[in-house]
Amino acid sequence: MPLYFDHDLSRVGADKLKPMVKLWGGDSKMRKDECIACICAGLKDPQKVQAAISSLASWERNALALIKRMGGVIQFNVLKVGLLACGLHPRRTYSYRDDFIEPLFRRGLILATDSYSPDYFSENYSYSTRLYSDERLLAQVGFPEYAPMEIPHMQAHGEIHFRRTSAVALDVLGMLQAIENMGGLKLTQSGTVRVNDEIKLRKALHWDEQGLDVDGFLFPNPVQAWLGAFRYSDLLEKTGDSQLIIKNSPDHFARRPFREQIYLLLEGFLRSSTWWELPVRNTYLDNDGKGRNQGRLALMLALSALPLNPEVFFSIRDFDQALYNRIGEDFALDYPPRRPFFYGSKTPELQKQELLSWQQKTRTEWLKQEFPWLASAFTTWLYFLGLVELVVEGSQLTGFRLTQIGREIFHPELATVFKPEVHATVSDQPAWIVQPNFDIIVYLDRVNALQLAFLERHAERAHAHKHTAHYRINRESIYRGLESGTTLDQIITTLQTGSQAELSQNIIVELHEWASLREKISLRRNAQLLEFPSAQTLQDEFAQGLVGTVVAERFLLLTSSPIPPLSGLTRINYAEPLPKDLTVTETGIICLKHGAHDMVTAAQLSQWAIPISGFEWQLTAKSVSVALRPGRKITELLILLNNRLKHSLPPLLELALRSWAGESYTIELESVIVVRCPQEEVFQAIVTSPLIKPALKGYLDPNLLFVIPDQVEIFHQYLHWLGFGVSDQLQTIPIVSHRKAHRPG
Amino acid sequence: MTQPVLHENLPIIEVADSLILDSLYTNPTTAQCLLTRLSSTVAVVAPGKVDVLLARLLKLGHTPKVLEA
Repeated sequence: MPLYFDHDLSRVGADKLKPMVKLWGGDSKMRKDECIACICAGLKDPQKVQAAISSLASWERNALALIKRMGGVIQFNVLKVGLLACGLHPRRTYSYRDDFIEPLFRRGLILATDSYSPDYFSENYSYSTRLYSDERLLAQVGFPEYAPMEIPHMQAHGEIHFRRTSAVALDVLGMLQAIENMGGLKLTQSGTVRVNDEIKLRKALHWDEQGLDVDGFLFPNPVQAWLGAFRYSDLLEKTGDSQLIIKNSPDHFARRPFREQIYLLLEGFLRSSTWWELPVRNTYLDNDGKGRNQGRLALMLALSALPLNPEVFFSIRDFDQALYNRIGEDFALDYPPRRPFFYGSKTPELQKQELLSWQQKTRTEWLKQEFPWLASAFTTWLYFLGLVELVVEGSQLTGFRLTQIGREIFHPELATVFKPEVHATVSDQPAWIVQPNFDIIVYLDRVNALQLAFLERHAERAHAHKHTAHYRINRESIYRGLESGTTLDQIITTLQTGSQAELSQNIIVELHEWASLREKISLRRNAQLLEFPSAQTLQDEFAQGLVGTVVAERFLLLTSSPIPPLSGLTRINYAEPLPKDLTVTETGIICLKHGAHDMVTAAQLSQWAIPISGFEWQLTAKSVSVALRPGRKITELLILLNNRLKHSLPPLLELALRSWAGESYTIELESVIVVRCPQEEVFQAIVTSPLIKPALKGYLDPNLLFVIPDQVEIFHQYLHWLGFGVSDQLQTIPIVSHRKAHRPG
Repeated sequence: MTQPVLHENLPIIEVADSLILDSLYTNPTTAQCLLTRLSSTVAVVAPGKVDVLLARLLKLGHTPKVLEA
């Protein structure tokens, strides 16, 4: 549903609509309904929208551009910090509720989206109104404008580090390919990737648990970082069975222009709220990630505001100070600072002192908390994505400059100035050497993303350096490639065209051999198999034009749809539960309903029980034990029976099956002489009597005593002396009246 | 049976050489995934066990072609 103002305007107060209508040529004398009609008519007309946007101040257009960048909806705080980072905004008075939101609202550029009214805005530590703008306004707004940052150049001393675009593509494609090879990642109920799958992915990528070393820079928790970036870049999607899979193949991603690839990932990092740039941090700091989202946006905008001279480096400290100057008094990763507000009771001198003291404290806290985060943003995602070159002196990051791709990304408004990028296509440019021992040495200055995607899919990456990457082809990697749909000819051709030398003969022979091995076994997940009463019937139907492959005497494998119209055709669908057509006795005799004709039940039962006839099987301790030997679990049989039995599984048989499978059940059996004392006082008197004690073996609560066999006579004498009436028949509970719920004890 | 039966979505395995299927039936880890042998080279795979069988085949050094239908 499009985000238009039309629906919400009727809930905006008439007094607030009057200033809004001016943008569309209306005046303050209009009634409420006239104001709404005027605004709606203006928004409907693209030319009026264009004129309205042209009449806006730069910072107002920036507000729209930032809302557009964030997908049409933005949080109050994010918009405020974003506007400050751009450096173009009206002079601030720092009075109560001094912000940019009211002016934008009065201009008719934003409304609130999740408060009780579209004209109510609020901001505090825990809540920040979400704002939106009309899509028709956003559609015509361009890129943000920036006040250039006044920041001196620095002389770069020390090591300069940068990443080639091909090295970036190599890593990104490698990650996507690894996720594809894993068949996706399983999600927990809360929607996060299962820890086991995170570990598997990390191992598949040969990443260290502590973090990734990228040219000496630590990238902490890379799995979490990249999964977050991929998810928010729309490169992964959730399936119905709670899996996270890649939306399009790595090849598809590789075909995109490199600038677009990086831009997507950058937007992913911008929105990611779980990952931290810092390896060690306070657990409570920015728990929900809002601070980092704001900070990353502000950082990206500040980088866009840098002078565009490609030759010069900037000091990280100068950049930090310049960014602080723009947002430092309104932004922190945790709780944003609050400028002191004076009600007039203090002298101007005192106010000045208090303000100065607050500013010093805010800067000190920024240097302690925000600066380390900022420096880590440079050494993690900004460096990894190849957007910045870094200057390192000793082990300290001292400076940076934007790379060419960095300038292209952070200055999209200058796209026409940059040399247009050729879309990645299958290149015939030699970029590697395939050695006779199946090793491939790839030259990163020559390889393109599509070639890298090919290698990631069809070879194992051994390692990568700054200028070269080493791959190895083997039977498994070629098998994986063939399974993904590539033909043998395509593999050989692509290897050949990308190679600086002819492929050696042994490579080609081995590739053919590996491909032929794959033809020896075929697994069909969902075959459509037509079974005929006899081989003759099959031949008759075949002769009449039935299409398929005869796979056994009476079986035809259908290779095309639709299903042929055959008279009397019965259908059994194995993707659905099979009918409940089994019965079983307590003694383990299983009966299959006569006439049942599926292809699995009889064979499944024969794995667990001894066939007695075509429709009967006997479960025995031995048959179950034999079935379990190769590693089956007794639960498989119990599930099979529970799914297919017409009735519930007899509890005694279930216990027998579990017992035969090794589960331990203990009962005690002994011939004893029992004395039952229905009256509690009698039981207590006997059981506590020192006189009778030697004749007793023990007791069971609540009223059963056991007499030592050779003491029975003496015990009888005691009872006689006591004058008790003794019955020689125990009053027991008939078995027929037993109910599980009433079980005694 | 007197009428044809269509077995829909039935997992099956086909091999080029009957000896391969013989060896899979004699191997305890793969045999438990196999049900009815339709011919010397074709067998029914237990529904829900295709991926288990695939993993075991790969472990045994086979490289099976996996087809949807």
